Amino acid sequence: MTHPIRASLGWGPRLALLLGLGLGLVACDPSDDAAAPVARRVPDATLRVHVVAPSTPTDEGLAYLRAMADVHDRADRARGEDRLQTLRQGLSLPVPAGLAEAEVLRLDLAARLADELMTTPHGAPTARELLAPMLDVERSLPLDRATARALVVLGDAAVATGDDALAAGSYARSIEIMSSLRQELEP
Amino acid sequence: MTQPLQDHSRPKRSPTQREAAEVSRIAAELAALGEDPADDDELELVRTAAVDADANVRTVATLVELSGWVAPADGLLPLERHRVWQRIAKQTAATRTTPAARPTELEHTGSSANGFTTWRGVVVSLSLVASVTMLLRVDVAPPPSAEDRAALESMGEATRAVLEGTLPGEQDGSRARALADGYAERLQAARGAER
Repeated sequence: MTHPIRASLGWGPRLALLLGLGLGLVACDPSDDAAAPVARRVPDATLRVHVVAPSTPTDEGLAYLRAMADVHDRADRARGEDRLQTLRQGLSLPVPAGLAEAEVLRLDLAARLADELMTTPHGAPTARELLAPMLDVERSLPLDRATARALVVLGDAAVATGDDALAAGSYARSIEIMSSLRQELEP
Repeated sequence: MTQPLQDHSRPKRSPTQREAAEVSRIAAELAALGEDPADDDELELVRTAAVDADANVRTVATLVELSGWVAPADGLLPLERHRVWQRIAKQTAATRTTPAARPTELEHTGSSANGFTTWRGVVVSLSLVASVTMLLRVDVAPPPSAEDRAALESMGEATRAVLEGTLPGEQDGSRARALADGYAERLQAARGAER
């Protein structure tokens, strides 16, 4: 029986090839268009990752995780600006010291908030401003699906704001994260 | 044809007490070494050296002697002067790496060298400007075309499809709830172990 994850492995090489071509296009295209809002840069696909180890459980840690779950539940029931406000409040919750799991949940929440912002008028720059510092190439990112998702959303926001180098770099980094996760899941 | 330099030397004068003492010291040293005593010419040389001990005085005296020196080439025939020039050219070639040349040729060579230096400077300047232009073009490259942008957007869609296809994650709330539940179990286990 074919494992559902392994059944779609063919996407990886094809997407990697597409991304390679995309990185090349963004880096070398000589066409002229002075109306672009953002000056082009070379895509940076630098990726530093770390594995999130389970932390020592505490009451404060458990309260935070449950609060984050509640934020998502309330956001599911809300619409429009109320949903955005709920997600923002979730990101502003103070993280207990030593709670490694919070990093993944915050990335997931930020990705969801950015996704919601992208659906609003002029929300793409805000989404980019939200995610870009959290996913900076200088930072070590958790090796988790939440990181791959947040990178995809950052890539979408970068495309919407005209930063093609950031978009190509973010997509490439997301693919690399997914590739690493697949390798971990393979028997 | 050459005239002796001694013709332009200073007239002799009576030795001073310090010069006499110097001559006596040298005579004693020569005697101690078993050498012959100094003759009149040598003593005159010692006396002159003692008087011209100051470097500036010696320099001025030498310049005066040279200014009064009659060049031996004045009496040479044209063929002899040509040979002298050839000899000078050979000596110049031996001491320099560049070929020797007569004064007119040296002038011509100098102007060519200056011209080459000027052109070389122009070429270097143009190369520098071209390099800076290329660097600026790389750093501030023009944006991609509409086709490239469409390709980038489709890549984003494909990446998202891979994310959902290969790593189908739980919905946002479910993931957080699952993490919280697992965390709560570990907390219960840790408390049970403490009791």
